[in-house]
Amino acid sequence: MEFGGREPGLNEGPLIPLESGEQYRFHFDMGKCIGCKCCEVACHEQNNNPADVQWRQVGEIEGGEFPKTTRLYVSMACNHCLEPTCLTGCPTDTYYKDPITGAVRMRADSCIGCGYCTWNCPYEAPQFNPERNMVTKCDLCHNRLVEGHLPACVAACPSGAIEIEKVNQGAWKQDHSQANGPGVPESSITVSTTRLTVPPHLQADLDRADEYRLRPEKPHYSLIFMTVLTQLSVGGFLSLFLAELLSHWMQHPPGADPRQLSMTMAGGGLEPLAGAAPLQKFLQVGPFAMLGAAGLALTTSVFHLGRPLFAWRALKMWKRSWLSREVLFFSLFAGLASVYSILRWRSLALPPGTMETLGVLVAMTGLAGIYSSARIYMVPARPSWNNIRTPIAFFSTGFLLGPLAILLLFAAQSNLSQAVMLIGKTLVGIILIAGFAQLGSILVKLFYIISREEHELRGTAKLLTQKFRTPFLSRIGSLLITLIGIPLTLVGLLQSGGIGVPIWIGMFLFLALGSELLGRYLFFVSVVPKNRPEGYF
Amino acid sequence: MKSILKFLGLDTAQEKYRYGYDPQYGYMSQAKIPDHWVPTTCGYCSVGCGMFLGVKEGRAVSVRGDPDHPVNEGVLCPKGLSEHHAIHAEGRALYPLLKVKGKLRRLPWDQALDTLVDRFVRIQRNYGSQAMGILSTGQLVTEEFYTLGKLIQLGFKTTHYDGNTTLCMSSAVSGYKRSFGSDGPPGAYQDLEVADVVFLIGANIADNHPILWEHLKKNKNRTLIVADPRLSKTAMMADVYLPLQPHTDIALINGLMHLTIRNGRIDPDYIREHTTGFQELAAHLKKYTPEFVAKITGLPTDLLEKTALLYGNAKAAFTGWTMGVNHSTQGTETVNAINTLSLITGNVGRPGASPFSITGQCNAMGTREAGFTSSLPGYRKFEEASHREELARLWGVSVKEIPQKRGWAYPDIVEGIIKGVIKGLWVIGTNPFVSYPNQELLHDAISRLEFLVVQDGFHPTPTTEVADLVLPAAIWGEKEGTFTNSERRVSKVNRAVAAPGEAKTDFKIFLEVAKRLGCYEKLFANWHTPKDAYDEWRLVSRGRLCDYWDITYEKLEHERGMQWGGARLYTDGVFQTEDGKAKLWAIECHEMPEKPSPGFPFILNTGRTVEHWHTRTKTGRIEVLEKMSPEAWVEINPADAKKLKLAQHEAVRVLSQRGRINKVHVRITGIVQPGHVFIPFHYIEACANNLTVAEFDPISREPNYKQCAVRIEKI
Repeated sequence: MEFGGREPGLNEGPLIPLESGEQYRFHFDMGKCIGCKCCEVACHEQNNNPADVQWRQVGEIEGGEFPKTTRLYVSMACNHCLEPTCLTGCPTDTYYKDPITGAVRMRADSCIGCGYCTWNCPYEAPQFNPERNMVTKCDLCHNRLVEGHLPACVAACPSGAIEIEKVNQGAWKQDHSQANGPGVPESSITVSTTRLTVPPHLQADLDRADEYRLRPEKPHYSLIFMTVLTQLSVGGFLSLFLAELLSHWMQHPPGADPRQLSMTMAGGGLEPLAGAAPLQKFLQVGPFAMLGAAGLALTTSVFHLGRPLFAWRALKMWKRSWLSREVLFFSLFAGLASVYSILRWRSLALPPGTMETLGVLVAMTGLAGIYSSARIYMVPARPSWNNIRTPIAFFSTGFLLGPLAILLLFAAQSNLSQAVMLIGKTLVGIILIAGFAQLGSILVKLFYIISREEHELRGTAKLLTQKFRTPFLSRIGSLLITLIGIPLTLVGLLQSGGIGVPIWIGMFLFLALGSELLGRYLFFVSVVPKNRPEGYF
Repeated sequence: MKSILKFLGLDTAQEKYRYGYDPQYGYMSQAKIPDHWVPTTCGYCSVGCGMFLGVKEGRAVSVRGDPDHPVNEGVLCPKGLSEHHAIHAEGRALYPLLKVKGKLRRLPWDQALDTLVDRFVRIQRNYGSQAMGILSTGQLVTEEFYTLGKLIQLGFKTTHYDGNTTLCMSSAVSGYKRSFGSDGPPGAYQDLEVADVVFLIGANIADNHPILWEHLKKNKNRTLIVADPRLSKTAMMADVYLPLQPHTDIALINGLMHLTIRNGRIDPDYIREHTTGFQELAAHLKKYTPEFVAKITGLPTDLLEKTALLYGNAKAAFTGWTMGVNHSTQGTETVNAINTLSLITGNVGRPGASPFSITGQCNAMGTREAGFTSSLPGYRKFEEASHREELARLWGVSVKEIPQKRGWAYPDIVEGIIKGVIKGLWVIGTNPFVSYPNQELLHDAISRLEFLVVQDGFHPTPTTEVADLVLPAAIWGEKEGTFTNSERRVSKVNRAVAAPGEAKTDFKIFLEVAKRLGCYEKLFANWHTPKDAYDEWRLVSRGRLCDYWDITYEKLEHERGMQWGGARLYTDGVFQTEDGKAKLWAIECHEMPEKPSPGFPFILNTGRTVEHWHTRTKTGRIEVLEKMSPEAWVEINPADAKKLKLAQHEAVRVLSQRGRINKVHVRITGIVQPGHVFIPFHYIEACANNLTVAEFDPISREPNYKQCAVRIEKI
């Protein structure tokens, strides 16, 4: 299986040719590695990468009691998987499986630096290079291999722990148990091809050296604003449609003579329904406000990319990538919502059902956008994200903030008289349901991760309850205050004449928005990704 | 504009990340493909790896191992692989600097050298010629050591000249001298490939000499035995691990000798023909029964029996050691015990069979042979009249000018400063303000000097910062000469790039000083290049054990280094003693100088990590290495951590009777025994030598770095 011994430099023999269905891969022998890190430095020198861009990394795992302690080193680069999640998640089709060597490679210059592959890979193989604002990774030294040279890491290993060998892809797909080892994420996620040789009779209690070193992930501020504001916008549009439906229903109560009512509206012989005139104005202004939120969100999101000028490329893989789908649905949502807002403002004579159809489309693309957003985060390499609580949290944000924003606009423009209180009450109802769903999902998440054994979930629990304890408590507290305060305030103020209602609602919107932004911040920083084992530092 | 293009994603630094094809090493980063490769030898440790330094437009851009070099066969350790970064690192010393009113100010070379000579000469005139001391290094080229030795001993006429090699390998030197009659490691790296037992004592080669694994890897039948109080990377790889208590190596070796004699696994013919002192030895070993040894070392008797059988039954046993042995008040004696074990089992001078000191610095061997510190050049003895006469004749000087005894060793020079005997000090290529034990004492000493010159490739370092005069020196890659490695292999070091700023080679500085001192014509007539020194050194070493006569620069370039004395020494069983026989030593095992006490309950062990070299003057400036090992840590056993309620990564304070580390992060790990802690010594920011004890081997004067008593406090 193995080709040739390790002969560096000039003396390397020609590569053993692959037969059909085969590819090259790494073999790593944990029993031979002395943890010298030659492979890591050789990789940097081969590729001129800065110190922070580690295509290959040596980690440590340890267990047992002195003098029967075991410490093993795990040197790992890209595993050139058979089902690479970097490739399947990529919105721009940057990755491909090389037909000659089987290496998972990247198309030069196609990457837009969204970093989604770095979330998808359970081994941290793709690395964002801040000097280039794009992602790069190990390509098995493809061009050395085809020239008959060994990869730099293999050539550099003084103990013969890293080798290149070939593997039959079909057979490996059937049984890839040898890709598993202590401290290494399970091979089933991506069907890693790297074969690990693990010393026999290992202790069960082997811990990774990075187990207790909790380094929060990046907060991704642009994504915090992008997700929260798109959700607010979608929730807002849905609330507007609901308000419109309700006002329509109030003006056309079931059973009334439609003709008479239309006369009322047109001729003015009768008093218009109390509060209905400001409602019309509100229904014209509201969409623009929500559109503004969406526009701000989508503009911000572009700056999440390392290469914002190429953002349009993200649409490319809508058939496969949830990231592409998110971009697609929110683009459609923004476009349709713009048309809707303009038409609503101009009050043009349109064929009947036009606005309704348009409204339905805005709602559907918006909801699909939120769902796609949530699916982006539901990846096996990020355990604390990879569950139903992510979409619940995202939709809850939308249905908490959207109605609250609409309620504010509503209250600012109309005297919340009894006549239109139905709308207000309905919105408050939705706010409360969404808010408590959000609160419930936070608490369920906390109890779930605390009860689990997985290194990553334990890490998330530690981050939330230790390092980010204060923000986490503030997040819960502010949400709770909002949920208790809104109904109380409304009831109290309305009874005392309703003066100052918009101010109070504005304060609660501010508090709720802050809480959701903080929650999203915690969502990003507290995820502990699956990765290859790292060292003590 | 560039930043806007980068922000938008139009500029992805494609040029920097382009690949190309190097005719010698194949496909690699274009930026690393040099205009030409310069063959040379690594400048860090004394494994002595052959390498090529890639030069592009006058800058060193890459390093690659030499696949044809017998030492490393193309591989290099992480320090070697990134060594070119040291040359162009931040913080190189660029100009001579003189302290004026408390501040270091730039001055021309001429004035700097005049100042050096004037001040030292004035000090010598006022206080006597011995009032000047020199602390040098193991990292200059042999040509420079040879030149410096003559300049100091015959030019300045002071004998208080030593190197940081005393902090490193002097116990091996003294031990070899006492056992075999001369310094000189008898074995070769090839022994690692053919020995059936490889016994490593206090040697963590996986961290400190990883390229030796290249040789060990080839040995499919070996049994690797490692004795170390700490379960180091190397111990982890052992077939038999001996987790002995610190400072008990002598008891272990005595115990093994006791059992080997009892098992009848000694070599009576070899003992009779090639050694003296067996009777005394055998009598002395009687009490070192397995039970007695088990009590001292903490090793179970069955493990001792097993080890003795493995060692005794080996056709060829290799015993290697490093700082775990040398860094001890009984370092020399431990070396003697190891040599004695090897001798009585006939494990000297045969393939695979050798006691072998794995040296520290790249050219510690060179200074031992040519440097004029612990012995006269060519392993000649100060006290031997014929040796002095021979040298005087070779140099054309009066025999009276050759000193009759060795001057002070490193710690005695420091002591001499405190006593007010030494008033002027010249420090060359070493950084005592990280590496010397008991930093407080050293600070006191340095503050008493009238004049301190520090000659280094880097500034600022903790030592250049306190200098009165800083001389900027060229470093590895910027100068020519030879290094000699642990296995006595002389290898060529070549100049690839020009030194930065006004930095000069140490060789040039020494000659310039000699001219101003007025001894150039007498000692160095017509010397201009290192080769002039080397050719004289070849002549001076001719006929000695370390005979360089046949090893010319030309041959070195072709042969990828040559071992003086052949592959192995003492193949004929004839030693450098008067009777030609090796001396067997009956050694008693003493306790460590500072034992743990209620106030300081932990034993502190200090050592190294693979990413860093010594005081991090170079490696601390190389990003890829710093990233891997950015700060010091203290290893503590889980049981002790629990008692002290310490959490992984928690910052603690470590104190000894002498000093403290104010902040260092805890690494809870089962690789240290309960009651022991370990701190790497590389880091000035958490300097382990604030804590270490200033106790020294009475023979070699090597410090006892490996054990002292400390306390750990929560912050």
